[in-house]
Amino acid sequence: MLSIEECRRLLGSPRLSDAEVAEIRDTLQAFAATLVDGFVEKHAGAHRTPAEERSQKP
Amino acid sequence: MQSVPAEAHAHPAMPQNAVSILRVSTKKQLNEGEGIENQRRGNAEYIRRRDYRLVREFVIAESADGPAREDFESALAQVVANKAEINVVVFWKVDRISRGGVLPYYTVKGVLAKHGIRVEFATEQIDGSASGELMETLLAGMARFENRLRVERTIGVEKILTKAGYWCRGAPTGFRNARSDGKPILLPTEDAGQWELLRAGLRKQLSGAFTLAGVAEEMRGSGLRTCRGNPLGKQTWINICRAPVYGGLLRGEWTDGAFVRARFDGPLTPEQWTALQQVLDGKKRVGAPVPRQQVHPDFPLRRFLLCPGCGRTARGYFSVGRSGRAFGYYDCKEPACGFRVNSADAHEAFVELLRRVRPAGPLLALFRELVLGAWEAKLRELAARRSAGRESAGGLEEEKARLLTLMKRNAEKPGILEELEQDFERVEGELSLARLGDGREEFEKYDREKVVDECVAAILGVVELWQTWPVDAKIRIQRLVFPQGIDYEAVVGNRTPQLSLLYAAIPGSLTATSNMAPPTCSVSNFWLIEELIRWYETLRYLPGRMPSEPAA
Repeated sequence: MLSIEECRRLLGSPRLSDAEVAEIRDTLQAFAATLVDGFVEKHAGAHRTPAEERSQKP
Repeated sequence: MQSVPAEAHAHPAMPQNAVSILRVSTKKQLNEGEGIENQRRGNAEYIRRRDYRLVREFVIAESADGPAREDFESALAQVVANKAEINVVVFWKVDRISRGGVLPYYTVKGVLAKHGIRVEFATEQIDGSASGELMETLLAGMARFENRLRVERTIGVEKILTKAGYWCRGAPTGFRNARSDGKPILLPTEDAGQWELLRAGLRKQLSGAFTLAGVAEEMRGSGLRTCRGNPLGKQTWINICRAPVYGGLLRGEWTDGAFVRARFDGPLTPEQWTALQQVLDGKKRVGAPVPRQQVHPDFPLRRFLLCPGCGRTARGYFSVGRSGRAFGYYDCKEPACGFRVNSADAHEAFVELLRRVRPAGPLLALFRELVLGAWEAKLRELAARRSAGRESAGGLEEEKARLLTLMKRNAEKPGILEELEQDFERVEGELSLARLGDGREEFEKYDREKVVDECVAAILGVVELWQTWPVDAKIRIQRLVFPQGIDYEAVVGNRTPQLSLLYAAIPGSLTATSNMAPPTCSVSNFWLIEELIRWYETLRYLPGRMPSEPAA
């Protein structure tokens, strides 16, 4: 995980407190993880339910 | 219980029959040290000296201080059942009967005495004299005293160690016991895949976008096992999420209820674990459900648009003209305000406003870095799943084949067939999860930039999503960008819209058409992103509704 200082540098907002930067980082981190999960599931076809998968079988 | 060696019976002159009871506190002690052998030698010597005849020997591995002493009570019951053949029970010492004090000691002795069976000790000579009785009482009391003293010392040491951040218990799921400078700590389990799965599950839970049951089921399907090697259940998962040790923290009776930073790390940081508790307690808002009254496919701005006159939320409705044609309107329920706009005009103006909403550049730079980190973590998780999945997939394949055979056999029995189909779906679901990791090589081929671009597109394409997604998604997007609702004058560009603090903290995300300063906003700084996670999660499972695949 990125350090607070690294995040502050990327944000370019030296006025933000450590706590604020940490909260931005953690929240965005969670969002990034969610999106990556979605990417994997979409490309793996795992987002389909077993019933949907079975219905597509010949 | 063990049988007695044949030579122990070979004394035809012995008039009295004796039973020898040997006891240690734990099963581990049965095979370690001289505990049992020492007692056996002592009892045998005593029995030989008294010319008794040993008829039976019981070996018990059980605490003498617990409320339930099944093995000991079973041994006594067998002695009583054979009372006609038994005269005396021999223990090595008083503390082999009980460490619970005088009362349980005399209770045991009384039960045997009632059936005419004496109790004697190989190493402690207690007779029926006054001094013998005093000695007996003192020894029984001393046995309890020693036990309590040892417990207090142990707890005292463990309390000191725990307050200093060490771990004095068995390793919980995902960890293993270890030593650091001779003191007890925890380290990640040697199966790196299990540790990675645990970490991924906790982070997923932390996102606030998944239910406990959902993540528990996914972790179970992925092959996460408890510390005893059992499949993970929902309650175990809840316990894991709630246990401070998974955030590198200790808290309990031994820390006097205070949080102590452990001398080892957990799968989450202490800050992440604290945030997870807030998510689980519902204190950290991750998107409230859309109110039912607000949902109407033709009026997504209902209860969201604010009357420029009084600030109340607007109504949305159809008005049928004389020609019978319906026209959509938003208005204020207070007639004096005179606010009434055509819904189509309001939607068009709102789309124009959304086109100007963009997350700030610096925010995206950070977001890109975090997506890259998340992608690497995901690849590691997939590897862990594949490792665990290969083990479980074989068994699931067998179960699937068995269920298919049963379904064919019971094709004419709808009741049974329905149950079998449900089982089949469950097994297929678990199997697809178990196989998910098999695609790791395929995913490694993906260009990292492609992954990042796709994720960033989701955060950028707000206006496209608003136009194409269902009404509840529209409402979520609105609340995401303008959490306090929006004054109609701001929609049409006559006022500056009220922004969330995230946009205020990192300026440049929205170009206002007015020079007026934006009003302060009382909502949580990062409610916006949390809300984004919520609606993304809600929508991504809808067929064809992935952010990169807006519905046609």
